[in-house]
Amino acid sequence: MGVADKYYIERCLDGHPDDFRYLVRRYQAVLLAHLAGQLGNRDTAEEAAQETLVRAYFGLEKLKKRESFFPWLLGIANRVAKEQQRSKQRRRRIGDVLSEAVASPELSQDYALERAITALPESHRQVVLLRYYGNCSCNQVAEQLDMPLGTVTKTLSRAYAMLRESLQQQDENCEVQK
Amino acid sequence: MNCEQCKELLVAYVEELLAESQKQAIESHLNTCPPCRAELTQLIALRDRLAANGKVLAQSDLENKVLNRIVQEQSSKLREVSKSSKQIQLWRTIMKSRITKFAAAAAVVITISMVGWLNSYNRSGNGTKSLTYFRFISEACAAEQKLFYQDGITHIVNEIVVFPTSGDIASGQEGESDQQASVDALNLFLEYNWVPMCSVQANGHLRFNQLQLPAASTEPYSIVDESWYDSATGNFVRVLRYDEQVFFANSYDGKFVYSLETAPDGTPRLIKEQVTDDFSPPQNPAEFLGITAGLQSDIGEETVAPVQEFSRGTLADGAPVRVVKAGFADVSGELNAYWLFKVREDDGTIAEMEFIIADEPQLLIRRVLSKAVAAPSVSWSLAELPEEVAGGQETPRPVVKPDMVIPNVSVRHMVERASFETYIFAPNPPWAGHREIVDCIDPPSPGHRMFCIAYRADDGRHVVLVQSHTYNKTLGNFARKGQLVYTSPNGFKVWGGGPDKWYSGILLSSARFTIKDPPSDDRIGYVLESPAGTFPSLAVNGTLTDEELHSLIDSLIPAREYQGD
Repeated sequence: MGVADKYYIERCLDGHPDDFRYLVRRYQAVLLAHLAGQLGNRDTAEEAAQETLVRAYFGLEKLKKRESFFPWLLGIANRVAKEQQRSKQRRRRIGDVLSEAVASPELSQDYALERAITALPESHRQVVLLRYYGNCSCNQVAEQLDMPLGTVTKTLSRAYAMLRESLQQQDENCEVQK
Repeated sequence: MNCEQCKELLVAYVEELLAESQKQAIESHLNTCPPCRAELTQLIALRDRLAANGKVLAQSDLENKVLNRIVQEQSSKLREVSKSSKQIQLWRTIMKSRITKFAAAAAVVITISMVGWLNSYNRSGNGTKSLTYFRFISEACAAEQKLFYQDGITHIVNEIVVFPTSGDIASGQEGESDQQASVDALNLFLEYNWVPMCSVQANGHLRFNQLQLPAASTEPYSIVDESWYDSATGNFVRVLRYDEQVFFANSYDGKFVYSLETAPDGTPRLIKEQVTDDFSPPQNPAEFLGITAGLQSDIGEETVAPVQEFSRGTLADGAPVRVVKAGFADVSGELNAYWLFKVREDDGTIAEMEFIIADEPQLLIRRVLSKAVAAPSVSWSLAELPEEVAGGQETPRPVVKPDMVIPNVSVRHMVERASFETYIFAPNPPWAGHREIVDCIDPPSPGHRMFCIAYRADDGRHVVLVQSHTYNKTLGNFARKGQLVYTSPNGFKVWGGGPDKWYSGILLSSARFTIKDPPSDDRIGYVLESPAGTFPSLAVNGTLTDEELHSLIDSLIPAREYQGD
């Protein structure tokens, strides 16, 4: 993963806002995968990811443990997703049924997978996101989440089983609907 | 191993985390167990699906959106506390435009090369040399020097490829009149690409030229840049060819310095000059023959994006390289124009460098050959070359324009060479001592010169005044959106506001050869509107009281009336 998050955070706080781009690059896919499953729509997920990163930037000073940027970021993303869902519900209550029916959500290429990831328990999700969306090796995941390498592979192993089950379930539901 | 044990280790196996003995145990189990093999296939399929989705999501353009929003929100925070809120907002809107950004990026790249040149001219200077970009280029230049010291004569061939561009960069899609000026400037800039090119003069000093490369129409074209160097005697020949025809050459045979230039009508001219008594050939041939020649720079970290190790890769011949990216960030903090360097892992030299604006490659310079030979294929005196020069000027051809930069000129020189009214402080600002004027080509305005007057101050508040045809044509529109700070009795208007930190940073960086210090945090920039209707740009490396600013502006006089020197 190269330079630690901590370094870029300190650069940002030191008056180099441009360095935040490296953190955006590092975590954009992670955030999108994390949010797309929750929000069900690629555009909304992008909006939420943007909002999450902007809030993170302006909140960097409040982050006491700089090594914990990733879980902290996911925490912000969860709050943003909840807010968006709430405001969506409000809009729905106002009764814009027509546009709701017209707007078909633009799902990303593999929405089923993203939904399956969202359904994972938090600790499993973090490992999968870092490994496949954050481009970390298992060793880096272990370092990032401060857990032994063995735990990472075991978690990944269980996550695989859960993902497969969840994908299979979605396939079956799809069949039923057809 | 049984199935249960196998399944437990399967993820670690796929992730290649197992010890050799465990790996062998799994593989032998897999060979005999179809259900576990099926499990493995499914596991790999899911892994590939995750990785593919990860790649798709990584391609999102969140980076620019997020950084733009940060800039926006920061400036709206600023708006709450700043009196000049309207100006900032307006500037932000202007600077948000794609076109303006690229024009700015282009301007910045002009500056970056110029600084590099002046620095190599002013090698004796004691500026800070610990900065990343400088260190990177110096190391590459030192590594390249070794290539020139092979047994016998070294023959090096570089290729310069000019790519056609889509034209998207310069198409003024918004078409707003506010942006017209910058679009015009950019179009001018894009008529040709250029790279700095040094040649050796009869006094042993380097001459700083500009190799102008006309835009490629539909197909890329290339220039072959060939050099021979004899490390025992210091003799060298350098020949540039386009379409197999020579258009520039420079050499030294131990007694004379030769240069072959083409006159405007296309006729070749071979100039032979006896070296002066104090002549000594430049020590490091990489500084005037190499791929890094003219790129050395000590631009401050404040304005230059960090030299960033981008990725690793291989050259066409399979040699592993580090890919390094370096350039100036534009006003919005984006790196729209930059060099991508490919540095060989084995000898640390730059094997390829590509110049990119807005994701489009403009130029590629690469070394295609470096080897020892018994004798050069072109004589040290260039005698046979005039025959090889192409006549006629029907189509735009690459050309070497001499004197891209002339350091340390007089006020009289500036007046004689300028195509517009120039101004100078008389007397010098009381707190600023040493003054130096540099005359350089004004890249977006062919045929015009640009003048940079820099005053080094003991208290660090250095002053830089830059005057150019391009500024006169383009800065007016922007300046008048700013805030009128002062109108002087001698008829100058002083405009402030806008991204003054950004452009004062660039002006001060471009004058590092004289002022030595990096731009300070409290630097300030102004655009002046002169009584003659020109727009000189002023940067001060520190704060001025109103009184100091007023007396500085009041002391401006037309340079032709200057009595000093």
